[in-house]
Amino acid sequence: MSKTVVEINNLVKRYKELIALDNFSMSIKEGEVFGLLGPNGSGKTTTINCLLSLLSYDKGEIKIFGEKMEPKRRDIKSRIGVVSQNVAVFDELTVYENVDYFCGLYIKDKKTRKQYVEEALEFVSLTEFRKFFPKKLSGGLLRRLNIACGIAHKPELIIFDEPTVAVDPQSRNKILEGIECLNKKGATIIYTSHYMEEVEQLCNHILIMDKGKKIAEGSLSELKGMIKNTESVVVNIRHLKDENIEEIKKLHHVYDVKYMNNILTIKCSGGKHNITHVAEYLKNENIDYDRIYSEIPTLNDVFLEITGKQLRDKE
Amino acid sequence: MFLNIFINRLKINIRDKQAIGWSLLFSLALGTLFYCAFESIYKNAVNTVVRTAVVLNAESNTFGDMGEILKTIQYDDGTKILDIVETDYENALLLLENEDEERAVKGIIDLRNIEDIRLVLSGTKNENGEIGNAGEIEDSILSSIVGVFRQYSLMISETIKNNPERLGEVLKSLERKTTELIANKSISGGNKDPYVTYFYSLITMMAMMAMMSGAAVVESGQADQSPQGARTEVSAVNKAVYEIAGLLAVCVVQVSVTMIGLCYLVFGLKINFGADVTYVFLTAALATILGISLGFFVYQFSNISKKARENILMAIVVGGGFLSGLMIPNMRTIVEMKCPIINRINPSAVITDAFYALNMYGVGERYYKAMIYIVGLTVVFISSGLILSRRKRYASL
Repeated sequence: MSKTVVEINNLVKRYKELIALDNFSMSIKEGEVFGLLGPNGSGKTTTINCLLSLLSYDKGEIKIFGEKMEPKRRDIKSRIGVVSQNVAVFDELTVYENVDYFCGLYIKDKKTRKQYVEEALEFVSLTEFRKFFPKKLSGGLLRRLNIACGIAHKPELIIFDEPTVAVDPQSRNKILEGIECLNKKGATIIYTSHYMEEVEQLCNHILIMDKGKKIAEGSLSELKGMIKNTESVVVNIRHLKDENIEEIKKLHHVYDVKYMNNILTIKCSGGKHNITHVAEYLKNENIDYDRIYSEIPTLNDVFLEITGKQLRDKE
Repeated sequence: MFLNIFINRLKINIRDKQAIGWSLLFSLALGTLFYCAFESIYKNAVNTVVRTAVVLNAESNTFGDMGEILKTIQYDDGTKILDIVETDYENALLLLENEDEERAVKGIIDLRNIEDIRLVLSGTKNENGEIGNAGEIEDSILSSIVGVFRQYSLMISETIKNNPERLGEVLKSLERKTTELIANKSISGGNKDPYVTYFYSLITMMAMMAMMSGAAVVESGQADQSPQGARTEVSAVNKAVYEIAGLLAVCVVQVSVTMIGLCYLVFGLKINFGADVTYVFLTAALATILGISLGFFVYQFSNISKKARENILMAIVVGGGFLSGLMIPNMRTIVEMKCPIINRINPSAVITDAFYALNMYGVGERYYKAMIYIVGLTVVFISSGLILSRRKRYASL
């Protein structure tokens, strides 16, 4: 059975009147890619800051590698790597010097450090930019440098706090591939994001939080299993009568139908051939349509069904 | 770990062109401006002998033979600064108005009322006049000398009024200073170039400007101040080790910057600081470290906004500079009488006092005392900063 790397019990964090974390608990096993998902302001970063002993908290207990985490536990800190959402590098140091500097906060031996720095640069594909100053790097390359600075000392637990914010798709894919690779090499990953696609792609265990509370937790399939919706059939139709909508509602496995802006959305619970049934009905009724397709539920649907609101603001 | 932080912080500070550029520009540009403004006065100032009438009465010698003290003030090469004519006030006025260059005096030092020492300069021709003929070096020399005597008399009269029990102590202290005057450690340096104080003020300001570098050490090492600080705080490094290494690197760079500025003044502009230049360099170096430590200390109060902290630092520099006499020469003496503790804890006053002591009395007891205050304040600021940093817990980031 895998060891528990992180254990948070009944954590309470208040900012004056606002409760940022409300009896929040979570547990992360060794080797997991743990996704912490929630809308902006849900408490993800506060959780991470408490975990790292950067923030004081009002109540609760935090254990990392089985031991109580405190600000002075440098032995625990030396086994953790952090990649924050803000790029934390020095403009006056080159790419190589930045990685060497932050690696030097963990690794004393110069020879070992040199090797680690080279490996980190290679890992994020920045070797050819080693002599560049951060100001000369693009946003994506800067994010990769930020990652190299956080992982160069080969930590066992790596925390990625929204590392892909404001990153172009190409760099985003590169970053996600890198994280998968780190996990394969044995690192336990905590990944916080409000991008559900990333969490779906990366994480084998997901915790959804909102307003400082745990909303749901489990694997991707477990989370999707928690909701009624298993499939949505979407049809682009120019004209549809009310009596047709009522008849579609009566189809097998259908539990909700909406028709807005010439788009018909049919939500189904269970059933394997829902799209065929809808297509057959439309054909039988001689209703013309432009396009019909099926969507499986996303984490956003999970969040929507549980909380009644969107996980991410429309961008 | 310490060496790694020190070397990299050194690189960061050296490559911070803006910080270094402004510090250097400040010293070089202002030094050059001062030099251009005072150049002609400078050249004329060398060994000028000022024929002066001194008006004395019985009260004048209450605290020592004032006429004798004035006669003994001399330049380093032994040339007397003042050519004294002891006379009564009416005759002194006639001498001041005399058209014969040989017989005329440039000013009258009226010592009849020791609590109200007056200086009458040629061109003013009235008892209250001190404005004199602007631009004449003789006027400046006389003003400087009278300024020193006024400080003495002010201290004595204030002590008699407010702390008569301390009179013996003050008189003893002044006696020592007077002896130093007579023994030619004296104000000779100050008199030779009365404008050197502007350059001392410039060095004091340069030293105080280094406080921003001390603040940068805190900013880069604490989670609530910068992303780099957050990364440092989650690392395995001891916070005190990080801050000491950072401070050391800042000291190396900022002291070098001050030294470059000072070299420009001493070797480039050939400013005569009127004291052993080695000690001027030493004082400037320690003053810069004091400036850095002040910035380091103030920036530990991260519960107040960055803007507020910047304002506090500026208030300390400007307000402290005002109280230390960088703007009004007698202010430091007034503060010394009213609330001497301010002069002990005000970094600008402590630095000014060291330069003042060096210029007026040379390397001696008073200079060493001022240097001890500089080092003491530095130690207090750095150790308090380290303690505050160690105890810091963040309620929010």
